[in-house]
Parts: sequence; structure tokens; C-alpha cells
Amino acid sequence: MARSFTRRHGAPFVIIDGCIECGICERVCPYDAIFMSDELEFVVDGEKCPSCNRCLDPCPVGTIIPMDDQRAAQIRPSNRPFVFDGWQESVASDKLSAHQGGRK
Amino acid sequence: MKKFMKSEELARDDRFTRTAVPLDFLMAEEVTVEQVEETMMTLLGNEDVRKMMEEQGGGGGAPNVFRRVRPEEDDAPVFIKTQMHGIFMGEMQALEAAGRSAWDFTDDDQLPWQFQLDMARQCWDETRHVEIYSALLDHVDCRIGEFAENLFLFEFGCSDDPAERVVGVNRCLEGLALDVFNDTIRFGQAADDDAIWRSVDYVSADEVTHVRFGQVWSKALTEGDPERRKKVVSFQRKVDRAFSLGGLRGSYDGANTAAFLPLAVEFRKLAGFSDEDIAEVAGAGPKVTGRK
Repeated sequence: MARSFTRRHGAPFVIIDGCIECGICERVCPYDAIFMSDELEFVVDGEKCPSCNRCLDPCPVGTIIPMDDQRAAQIRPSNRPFVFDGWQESVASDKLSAHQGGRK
Repeated sequence: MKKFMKSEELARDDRFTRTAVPLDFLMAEEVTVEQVEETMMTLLGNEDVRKMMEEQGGGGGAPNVFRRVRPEEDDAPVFIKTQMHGIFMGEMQALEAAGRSAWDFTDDDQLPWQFQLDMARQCWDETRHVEIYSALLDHVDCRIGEFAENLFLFEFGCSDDPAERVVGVNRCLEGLALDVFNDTIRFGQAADDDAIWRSVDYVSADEVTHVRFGQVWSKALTEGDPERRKKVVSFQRKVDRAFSLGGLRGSYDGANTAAFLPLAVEFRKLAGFSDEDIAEVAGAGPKVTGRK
């Protein structure tokens, strides 16, 4: 079924430098949004992440960051292909808010 | 008004205590009893409960939180406080989740209007439930914030697919509530406490309807779309596993009278669960190793 409503209003997460690849985030995510990429680094798929926060507390090194946080600019190269449409690492958090709800 | 709120944005005043316990065992395929016990003690965040559980566990028996407590036991006052506080927080999160379901998908032109009406009805019910459980907290001499709140129930109801949303919130969260209510009704009846068992019984009638919403809408919204249905069922199995609370819940109501929080078979059947559905929930837990 084709879906036409605006799916994304919040900010999904990305993984930034410093991740130790422990994999706990992948295990706790109910939405299959975190997986190991071809570069053998864990990444968050912005299409699937509903920003539920389930992965934040288990992460022992605090490297899972909402995309509307300034620290998201430190996103790992491996995670870049999986951010949702319209987001660029150079986009400041105030500009990002203009994109929220923009993806159809 | 903003849509798709994060769990950390849920409003609470300074009476509430929120805990950031990882609860990573919820999605594990294999857990140890000790791992679950330690996490649950931290989760409850209350010194009385910790002491009680350590005393129970220290003697080699099952800790309090994983067995059915009877009104005549010394632990009963603390048990019913934890139970009521947990339900109260669950009702708060269910209200917030149903509110989100009613509002988040208003621009989905393929979603029937009846879906929003059902979610709105659930909100109306949940507001009454919050009030009822607030009064029941007073009844058992418990105050808001006496135990910590964890947001894991809400976190499993965050999907941006309405079919998965109703699976997380209605079928699974509210289904777990039915099991908890069933246990609480039994406790209230055994304690000869009319206020407890009658109030919870009345609330259960609403919860059956909410769980039925989950059963009906998760199927209706995926009809004719096997791929989406497969994805929703896969998500459903994960949430069922998570809400098995580490696989330490008793399986069926009546199968083990000493077991902690068994499935409320009768309530679930009223909500549209088939025998196969119930067997699936009962078998959803992880492999449990270690002391039991």
C-alpha cells in the first residue's frame, strides 16, 4: 500500500564518532532501525528510526545522538547514507527544524 | 501542534521520578534470572522494595517481584503499592500513546476516520483510568513518585506505521495491562478489598476494548498487503518478547497459581485473541537460564 502522509516529524538518531561497536543498540531496537553496515560499523537507518529513545540508555558510550542535536554533526561516514531525506551534517539544528515533517 | 513526540518529551511534574534503566534484557534471546532480578530492582528504584527482594532472594527462594504475593503475607503492602504505582504510570503512558495515535496520523488520507475515533475514545477512557488509579494510590497509601517510572512501554509504541502503532500500544501494552489487572483483581478479592477489585474490574472492561482495537486495526490496515503484514507480525513478536519481562512471567492463568503475572486468558479471548494468538504470546519469552 502506498503511503502518502508525512511520516517524519521528530528527529531520528545517528551514530557519531566514538562508537565501540558493542552492538547493544542493535539488540534493543524494536524497529530494526540499527544494523551493521558494509563498513562493519553500526548505523541508524533514518527511514526506520521513530526516535523512541529505546537505544539511548543501553548505549555505554553515548554515541547515539538525535539528528537535531548539534553533536550530530560528528556523524560517522558510514551512517551518512542512511540519514533521512533533506538532512545534511552541515545543517544546524535550527535549520533542521524547518525540515521536520518535510518528507513525504 | 507537534507530532511524533519522543519519550523524553512526555510531561511530568516534580512529583515524578524517572529512571534510565537500560532494560536491555527485554529484547534478548537468552537471559539469566540474576540479570533480570538486578535490573528490576534498579528499575523500581525504591529501597523498601530492594530490601524486600534481597531478603526473599537471599534465602534461595524466588524474589518477590516474580511470584504471586498473597494479601496475608508481610510483603503484601509493599507489593500492592508497587503494583498500583506501576499501573498508574502505565495508564499515563497509555493515555499519551493513544493521544499520539489519534493525532500523529491525521494527514494519512488512507486511514479510516474510524481509526481516529477509536483512538480518541481510548484517550477518554485512559484519562478516567489515570484518575481512578490516582485514587487507588491514595487507597493503598502510596504517593506519586514513590517508585521510579521507566518509559519502556511508551517506547514500544512509537512506530510511524499506524498498524505497528496499534500492535505496540493496543495489542501488547494494553494486553500486558489486562494480565496485570487480572492479577490485581485476584489480589483484591483475596484481600476482601472491594475498592481494589471492583475498580480494577471496571477498568478492565475498557482495556478489553482497547486490546480489541489493536487486534482489529493491525489486521485491517495490512489487509491485501502481505509485505506490510509480515513486517507488522515481526514487530509484534518482538514486543511480545519484550513484554514477557525476561520470560519470567507465568504462562497461562491457572496453570501455575504461584506464578508471577500469568496471561489473562479469559480477558484476552474477550479482546479477540484466538488460542493460537495466546499460545504465541505465551511462547514469546527468551530462553531463561540460571536460578529460578
